[in-house]
Amino acid sequence: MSLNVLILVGGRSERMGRDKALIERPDGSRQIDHIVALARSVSDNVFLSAQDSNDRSTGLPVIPDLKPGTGPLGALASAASAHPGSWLVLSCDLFLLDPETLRFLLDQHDPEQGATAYRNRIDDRPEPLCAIYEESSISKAADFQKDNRCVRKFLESLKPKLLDLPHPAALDNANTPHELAEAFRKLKSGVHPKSVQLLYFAALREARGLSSETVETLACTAAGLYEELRFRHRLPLSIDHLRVAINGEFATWDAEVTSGDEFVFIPPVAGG
Amino acid sequence: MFEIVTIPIDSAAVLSRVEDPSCGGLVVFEGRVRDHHLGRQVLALEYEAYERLALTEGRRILAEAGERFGFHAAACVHRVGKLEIGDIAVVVAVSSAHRDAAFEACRFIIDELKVRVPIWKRETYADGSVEWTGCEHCARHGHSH
Repeated sequence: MSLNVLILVGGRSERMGRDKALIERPDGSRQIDHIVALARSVSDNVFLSAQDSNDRSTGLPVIPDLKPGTGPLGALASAASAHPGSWLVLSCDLFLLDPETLRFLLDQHDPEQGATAYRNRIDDRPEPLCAIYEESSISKAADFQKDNRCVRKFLESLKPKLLDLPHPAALDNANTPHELAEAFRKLKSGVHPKSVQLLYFAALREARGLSSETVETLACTAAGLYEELRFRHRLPLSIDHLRVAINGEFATWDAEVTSGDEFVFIPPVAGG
Repeated sequence: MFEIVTIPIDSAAVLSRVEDPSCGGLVVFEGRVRDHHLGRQVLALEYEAYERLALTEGRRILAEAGERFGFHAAACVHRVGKLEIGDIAVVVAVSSAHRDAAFEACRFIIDELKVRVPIWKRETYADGSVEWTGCEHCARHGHSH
């Protein structure tokens, strides 16, 4: 049986402030068209999951949620009840997804496992929104979501076949304008590991349990570096509450990360 | 002159650095450790600085004050480390020919310092809790995926 593809455009994109599917990529194309082209390269059965039933001018059939507001799990259950078979789920906000990454997932696809997915490059947990779910697994989604709507936990419960990403940043997503700027910088300048020095102060020093460290990062911008660290160490402060300094001087969040730089993320100050 | 020190601050010594026969107005502000914060009793307090940038930003604030108010001289010293109730945490001293410039510049310097210079304050309260004052805890919880 051929693979179905479900492209999720249902998220509300509150932190981005606009429909992520319609964001223009650096090459001028729409993000949704980038994902649709990738999906079509691996399957003829491509569908959109959109709560508003709007196909974003893709010409693709839209599968509305049977139970609106139930997130990716609800979208998957709705798709499965519309069409039998296995489903490749793709989030529309994968700005760095490339043909090779998708091809490798399909090449490694093992229908004997409950699902096939990539490991997150930072925390090693499965990535649920670029993954293949078997028909037998999807039937469990309706039950699972009664207690828990987290699609990542659902995927973990399926004991998926897990793969290492051939391109480590390929599934970096973007939920905020800062993260979008980071993704676009990676698209334009490529993804290269850098080594930077970090100094921690006050609440961040206590949360990290260190005053300084040297880290390897794939980030291109100061904001991207902080998001990596925040995700890796569950740091308590969001970018909105911080300033950033590079090499002893205040910098903007879109400032470039260069190997050898010294970064300080500055919590709200309280001198005097 | 902007400095960060770890020993007790001598206000008279800071003042002496801005004195000049041409100055008829000298204003000194002392910020001291008080025993309460937002209704809670404070037992102990510790300041921490990112010294490299704190010195740069502190000196920048003094220069800006000089351009705006045209004083003769200004000095600011901030202490870091563990402080007791009543200890002097910061001193700002400004001298000018007339009092207006000295008052205004002194006020400007301490106000800007509080919001711009990377210095943090960790307070220990009578109930045993500890807090980085001014630090807002995460509004958004959880992973970003």
